Amino acid sequence: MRGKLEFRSVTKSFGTHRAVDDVTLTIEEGELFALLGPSGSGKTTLLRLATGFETPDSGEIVLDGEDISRNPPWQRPVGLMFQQYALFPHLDVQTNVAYGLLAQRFQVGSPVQRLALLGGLRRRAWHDPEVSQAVRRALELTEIAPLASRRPAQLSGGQQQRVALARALITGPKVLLLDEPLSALDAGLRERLRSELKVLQRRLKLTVIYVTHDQEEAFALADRVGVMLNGRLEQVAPPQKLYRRPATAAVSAFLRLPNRFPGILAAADGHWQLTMDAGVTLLWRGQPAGVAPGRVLAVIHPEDIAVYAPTAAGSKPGETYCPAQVVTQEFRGPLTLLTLALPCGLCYALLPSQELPVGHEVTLGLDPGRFILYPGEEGGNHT
Amino acid sequence: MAIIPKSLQRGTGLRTVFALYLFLTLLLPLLTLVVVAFTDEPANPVNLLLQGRAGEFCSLLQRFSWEPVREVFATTRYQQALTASLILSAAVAAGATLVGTLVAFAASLSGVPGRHLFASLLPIPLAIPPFLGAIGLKLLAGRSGMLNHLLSPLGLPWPSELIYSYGGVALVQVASLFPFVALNVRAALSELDPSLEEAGRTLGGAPAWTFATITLPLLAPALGAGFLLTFMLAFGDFGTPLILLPPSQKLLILEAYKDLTGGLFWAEAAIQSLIIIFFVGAVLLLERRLLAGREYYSLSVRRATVLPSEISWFRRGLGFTAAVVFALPLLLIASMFLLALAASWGARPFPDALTTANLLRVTVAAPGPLLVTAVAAVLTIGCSLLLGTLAAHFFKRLPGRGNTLLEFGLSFPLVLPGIALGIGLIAAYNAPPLALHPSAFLLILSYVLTRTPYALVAVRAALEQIPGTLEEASAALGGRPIFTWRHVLAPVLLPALASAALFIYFSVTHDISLTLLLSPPHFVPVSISLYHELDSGRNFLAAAYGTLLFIATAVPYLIYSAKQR
Repeated sequence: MRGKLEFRSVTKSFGTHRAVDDVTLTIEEGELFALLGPSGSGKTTLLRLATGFETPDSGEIVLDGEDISRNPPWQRPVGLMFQQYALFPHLDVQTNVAYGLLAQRFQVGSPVQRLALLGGLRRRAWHDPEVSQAVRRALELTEIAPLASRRPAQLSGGQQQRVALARALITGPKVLLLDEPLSALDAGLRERLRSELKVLQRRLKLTVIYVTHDQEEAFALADRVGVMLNGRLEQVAPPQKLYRRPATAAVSAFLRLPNRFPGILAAADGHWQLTMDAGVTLLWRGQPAGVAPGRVLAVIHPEDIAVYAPTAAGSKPGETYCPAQVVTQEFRGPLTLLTLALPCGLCYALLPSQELPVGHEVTLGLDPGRFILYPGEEGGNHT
Repeated sequence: MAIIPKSLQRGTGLRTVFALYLFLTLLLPLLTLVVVAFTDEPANPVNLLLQGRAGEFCSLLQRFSWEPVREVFATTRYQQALTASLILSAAVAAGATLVGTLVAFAASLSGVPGRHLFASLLPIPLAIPPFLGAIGLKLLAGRSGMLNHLLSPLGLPWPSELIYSYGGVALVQVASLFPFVALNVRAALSELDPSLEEAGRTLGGAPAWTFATITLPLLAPALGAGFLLTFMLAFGDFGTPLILLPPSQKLLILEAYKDLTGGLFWAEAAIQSLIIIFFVGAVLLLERRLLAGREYYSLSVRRATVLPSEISWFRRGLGFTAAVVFALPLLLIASMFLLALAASWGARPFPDALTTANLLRVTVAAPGPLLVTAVAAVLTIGCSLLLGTLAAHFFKRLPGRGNTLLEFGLSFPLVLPGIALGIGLIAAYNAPPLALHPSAFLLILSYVLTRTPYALVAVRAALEQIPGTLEEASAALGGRPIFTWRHVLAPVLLPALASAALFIYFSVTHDISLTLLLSPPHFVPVSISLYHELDSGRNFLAAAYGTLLFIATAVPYLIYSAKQR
C-alpha cells in the first residue's frame, strides 16, 4: 500500500484563531486531490500539518495506517514543493535535486559517513553513481537534464518549478504536497505545466495534494476537490459535482456563482413559491431540497439561464419568463457573458456568442429545477 | 519552529550562559565603576562577597556618597573636558556625515569621474584607524615631522603646532570615520529603487527636485545612523587625542585615562568613565529609537546601482571632492611608508638613504609584537564568531522574554569606549580571588566582548536574507537539523562570517585603548609597540610598525574583496 493519507479530526489553533478546525479527510492512494480555498482559509496550515512543520492540537494524521502526527518533517515520507520553490541558491541543480537522497544517507549513515556528508554535497551529487543516476532520472522525468550544472538564479520560473518538482520526487515520497506550485508563473506556462503535472502524476501513480486558491486550476487537475473556508472543510467532491451542486451558500459564493437571489419561500395551494427580492417569482411542485419556508438564497449558474428574443418566448414547461434588458456584454470567445437588468436587480447569463447590443430587450427563461436553494440570506461571502 | 530539537526549544540553558557571560564581562565592571565612583575604593563588591567579607561589603556600602561626583562636576578641568568632548564629537560626526555622503554619491552615481576608483578605495580608510591616522599626521606634519624638516631650512616656517589641537584631532577623526557613513549611504543607495526617482521624473520633477524630495528622504535613515555611529566612535576614540592633544586641551576620555594611570585617582576615572558610557548609551538608545527596524550597520561592501544624474557640474564637483578626501589618508600612508624605509632623513624631500632595516627589525628580528597581535586576533575572531553566531541564531529562532535585554547587552559593547570598559575591568578584577589583571586572558576577554557585536550583527543580517522556506525545504527532504545547518545555513552565513572576521581583525590589530590599559608586560602587541616607539621619538621604527599594521590590514582586505568579485 502506498500513499493513503488520512486526517482524523485535526485541529490547529494559533492563539485564539482556529486555523484548521476539526478536519477529517481521506486522500486515497494515487489520487490527485486539490485543496481549494481563499488565502487565510487554513489550507496551507493543513499542508504544514501534513509535512510536520506544525503539530496538530488534537486529532491525528495517518499515513498508510501509521500515525505520523508527531514525527518531525525529516522523518515523514512526504514530499513538499514550495510556492516560491525554495531552491537552495548556493547549490547547482544537480546538488539541489540530490539533496533529499544525501539527507537520507545522512540519517542512516555511520558516524564516518555522516562526517563526510557534512563536508560537502556537490562531489557526491555528481560522482556517486547511485545518486547521480537517480538525479538523472528525476531530471529526465521533468525534462531539464541539460540544466544540471546551472545555479537556481540562472533558471527561468518554469525551469525552477521543474527543478523543485524533481527535487521533491527523488526520495520517492508516498505523498507529494504542492503549495500553489504554479502561482509564480505566467498564464500560458501555467496551463502547460499543469497538464504535464497531471500526466506525470498519472504515470507515477502519485498521491498528490495540490493546494490552490484558483478554482480553474483545481477543476482542471483534481480527481476530487476539497473547499476550505475559515479553517473548516466545507465540501469534498469531484470537480463537476462541486461546481454543479455547491453544498453551502458559502461554497457557492467562493466559486463566484454570480446569480444570487435572496427571497421568501412559501407553500401556496399545492405549490411552493419563491418570491425573489429582484421581482421574479418561481414555482415548484414539491418542496425544494434542503430548505424550509422563510428567507432563502436562490443561486443559478449563468449558463443555466436561457435568453430569448422578446417575442419568441414561452414554450418550455415549468419555465418562468421575465423581461430583461442587456446592460453589458463581455465577449469570451465562444461564449458571451451578459449582464442583464431585471425589474429590481441584475443577473448574469452565459450563452453562445451572438450580437446582443446594449439596451436590447430580451426575455429570460428561468427553470426552477436548475436553481439551488440555501437557507438564510447570503450565508457567507467569499468572492 | 519545528526543526529545532525539542530539548533546545525552551532555550533556558543557553539564555543562562549568555546572562552569566554578560554579567561577568559587562555588568560587573560597570557595577564596579559605580561602586568606585561613589566610594573612591577600587573594590569589587562581588569579590568581597565571594571571600565572605560581608563586613567590609557593608562598610563599603556605608561609604556611598555623592561627594566625589559633585566634586568632579564642580571642577573646571572636567567641565571643560566634557564640553569639549561633546562639541568635538558632534562636529566630527557632522563633518564625517557630510564627507561620507558626498563620497558615497561620488562612488555610486554614474558619470562621476573616477567613480570606480573611489568605490574601490572606499574601505581603505577603515584600514587606517584614527590612531594610525594621528601617527601618520604627526610623522608628516608634526614638530619633528617630515614637512617641518623639509621646510624650516628653507626659511619657510611650517605651522606644525596646528595639528596638536582639537582641529588636528577632528581632521584625523573625520578622515578615518567618514567611510562608516559612506558605506552605509552607499548600501542605502544601492537598495534604492531607481523606479521611484523615475516615477518622480515622469510626474514632472526636475533632477534636483526629485533628489531633494525622493532620494534624500529615503536616505535619511542611513544618514542619521551614520551621524550617530560616527558620534559614538569619535566620542570613544582614544588614540587620536592621546597622540595629538597637548595637555592644555582636554577631552573626557583622555582625562579619565590620565587620572587612572597618572595618579590612581580611582573615583575621578570611574566617574568620567560612567559619564562617557552614559552619553554613548544615550546616543545608542536614541539611534535605536529613531531607526528601529529601518537600518542596520552594513558591514559588507555592496555593489551600487547606477543612478541617473544629469547635472554635470554636480558630477564633477563630487569627483573633485572625493579625490581630495581620499588624498589625505593616502598621503599619510605614503609618507609613513617612506619614513619606514628611510635610514636617515635630512632637509630634503626624500630620505638620504633607503633601508629595509626598520621593517626587518619589527618583523624578523623582533617578531614578538607581531606574534602577540596574531595570537590575539585569532583567539578573538574565533571566540567572537562562535558567540555571535550562537546568539544570532538563538535570537532569531527562540523568541522569548529577556531576549531584547540580552541582545542589547551583547551588542552594546560595539560602541562602549575601550577606556571606560578597561577602567571598569581593572577595577573589577584587580584583587583576589578574581585577580585577572593584568593578564592576556583579560585582554582577550575584553576584545571578545567588544568585537562579538560585529559577528552578531553580520550573522543576524545574513539570517534575515535566508527565507525560512529553505530550512523547511531541507527538513521536508529529510535533512536533520545539523545537516540543514551545514548545507543550507552555513553556505549563506559564511560570507557574512568572513566579513565579520575581517572587521574584527581590523579592529583588534588597531586597538589602542583596551590594550594600553590591559596588556600585561609580556604580551605587547604591535599597536602598543608603535605607541612606545613614537613616544620615545624613534620615528623610523614607529613608521615601520605603522606600515606593518597598514599592510597587515590592507592585504587581507584586498584578498577578501578580490574573492567577493
